[in-house]
Amino acid sequence: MLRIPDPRDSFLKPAKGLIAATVVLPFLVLLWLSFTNFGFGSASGSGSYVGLQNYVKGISDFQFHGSLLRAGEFAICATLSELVLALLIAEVVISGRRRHGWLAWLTLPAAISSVAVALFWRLLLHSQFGPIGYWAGQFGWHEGANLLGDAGTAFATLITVDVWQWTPLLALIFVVLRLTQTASIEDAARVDGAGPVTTYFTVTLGILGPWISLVGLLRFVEAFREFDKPHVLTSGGPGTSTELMSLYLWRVAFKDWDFGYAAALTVIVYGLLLTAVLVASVPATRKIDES
Amino acid sequence: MKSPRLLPAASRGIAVLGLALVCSCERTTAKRNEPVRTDSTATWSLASAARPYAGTTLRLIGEDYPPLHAIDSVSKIFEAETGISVEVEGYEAEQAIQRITLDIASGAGRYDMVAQVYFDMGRLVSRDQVLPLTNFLSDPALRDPSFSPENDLFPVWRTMGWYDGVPYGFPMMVLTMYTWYRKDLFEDPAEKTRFQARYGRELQPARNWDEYEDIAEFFHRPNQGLYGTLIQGRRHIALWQEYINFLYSFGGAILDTDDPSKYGDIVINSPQAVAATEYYKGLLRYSPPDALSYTWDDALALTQQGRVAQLIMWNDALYSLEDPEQSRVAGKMGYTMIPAGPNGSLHEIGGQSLYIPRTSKNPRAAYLFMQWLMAREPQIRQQLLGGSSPRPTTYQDPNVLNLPWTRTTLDAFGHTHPAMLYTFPESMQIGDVLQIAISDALAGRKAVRAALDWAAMEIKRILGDKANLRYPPQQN
Repeated sequence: MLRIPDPRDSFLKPAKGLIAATVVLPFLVLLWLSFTNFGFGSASGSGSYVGLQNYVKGISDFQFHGSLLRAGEFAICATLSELVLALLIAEVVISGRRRHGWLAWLTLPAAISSVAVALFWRLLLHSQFGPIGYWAGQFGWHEGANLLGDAGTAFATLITVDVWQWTPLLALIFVVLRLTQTASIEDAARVDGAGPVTTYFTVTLGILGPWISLVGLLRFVEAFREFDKPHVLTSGGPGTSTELMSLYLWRVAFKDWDFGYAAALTVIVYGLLLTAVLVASVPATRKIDES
Repeated sequence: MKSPRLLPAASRGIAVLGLALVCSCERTTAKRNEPVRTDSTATWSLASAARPYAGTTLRLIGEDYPPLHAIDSVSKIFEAETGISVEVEGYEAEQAIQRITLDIASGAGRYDMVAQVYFDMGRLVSRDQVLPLTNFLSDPALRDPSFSPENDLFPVWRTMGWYDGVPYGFPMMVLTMYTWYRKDLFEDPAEKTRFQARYGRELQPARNWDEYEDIAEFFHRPNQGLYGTLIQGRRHIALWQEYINFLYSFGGAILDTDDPSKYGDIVINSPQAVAATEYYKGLLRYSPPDALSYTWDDALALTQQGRVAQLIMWNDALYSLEDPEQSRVAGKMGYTMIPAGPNGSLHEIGGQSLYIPRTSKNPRAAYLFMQWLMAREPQIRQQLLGGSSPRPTTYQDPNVLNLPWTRTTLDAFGHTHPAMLYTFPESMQIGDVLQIAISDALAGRKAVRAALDWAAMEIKRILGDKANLRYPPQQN
């Protein structure tokens, strides 16, 4: 019997190869490393097989646990703040007249690299050379002049900087979704006599819900692995109060030079994140498929 | 309360190093009166030694700051004499350390010389990543017979360049920390009168930590943009390095050892260390409000702007501080020893050494360049461009002596502890632990005692059986 090859297979082969080369292969190397003592820290880091030793160490590493919790807290707070603010900004843009002008501005913060954003905020917050820190001090708000040096405010400041950078991009996405996905149905609801508030909460958010979930999920994953901002703004301090997971892994890999252990921790993080994403994304993708 | 073992240990260290420094200077002075060139020196020349390597390009990597810029500048002379090109790459301190390690460990071999902090030497040696200098020093084709590192360099070369009895590097610069103060303020008659009335003694640079705190309190005028002092409180290598000046001055230590390459009992949570840390934390009252996010870069910038009355700071930053184009206080600063604590004035000796990685593609040419850098004339040139010479004769040059900080630098070299920084492989990890612990204590996240107890336990975890806890936390 003559088999006609599915043309999609031919198109997919290069893509599959690319994924294998850039994702699967490095992960396999990482997995192999995680079972070794490979490192540059001392003469003992020869790369010998050590079994599950690194994983056992990771399970009892309280600094690692703390960094995971902080990364989770950072990602949740930043993502929720960004989603709420982005929806509000999207409403302002939709109801405004000069949408195109707004759209250009909204892309700006996301176009700047995270390192540059962090350096920019470092200067803004400096009590002697930055306007925010300086004026806070001048008005007697000493905490305001020490936002990065105080354990209580440093973490909140990192979240604020992240919100500043990413909220506009999310707003841009929601503006596009509003214009393409919800506009006609909202018009129909208004014709049926629904008020603007009812329309927004029942129709707009109803349609956008799965998209909001997916956008939020993507932001959560990215925020969870945030590295640049704490590295530049606080170095993880004071103490370990802003040492997020990525920064801790960097410390293990590039200060302790323990690549085997860092690889094991990365695999653990990857497993946790994959599980969370799978669980969280199923309802949203199902709804999008249905719609 | 003083540790009965630490004090004698520290005192012995100071005596040994101070004596050695003096002896070295004497030897050097004597050497000047002797015929320097021997028969072999008459035949050896840099040009002929470098001839086989003409056209080669050497790459050097290090921290991006004035001493490295000075090397970059003087290397043009070497290039003209030898035909060997030298490319210098500078990066932020921690980034430089990482790049060096990755380049060597990966076998990439981009760099022929690395300017690495000397307290990372044990790790490089234990990983067999740097070449010993022994073969170069004994090779008549390479060794300049007029160069005698044992006599020409400060004895601290043994700390900064030797490991396990083998020479691996030459000090790129010998750095130290001491007190910077606003001489114009300290000499102002009105300020002197006010200080006398308030504290009952003359206003002069602090001789001990009590005086230092009084002066910080006196000059602390945030509303006028002037702070009594400044501490480099960010969780950063700067914090670890600044803090140990206080720690050792108060009679504390991290490990109880006089040999930087040998382990000793863990004493970071000793009563002396607790007292040092409490005092250090107290200085936050007279520092800018966000001092806990400051490193040496902020310290220099604020001082250049005239906003700090006194601070403990590195001598390698003085070139920028005394440059009128970069600093508002050029010519207005004074320099003096670190205030004395219960254990006296102890100044940390820091800096980088030049090593040849095993992956170097041009190790012999690299040695020639390093050897040339250590010579008298290149050293003087580097010093005047912002270097901090490891060669005593540099400090006899009239132009160098005219630099306002030279005499204090020499005084500070003579008052140090031989093991304030360690060279064994775990040194950087211990520094990292200290940064976290002190940062926690300064920010009030932990009580000082609890933070130091944590540091002691972490260091024990890192060193294992190599070191014992002198003060087990549960007994404190």
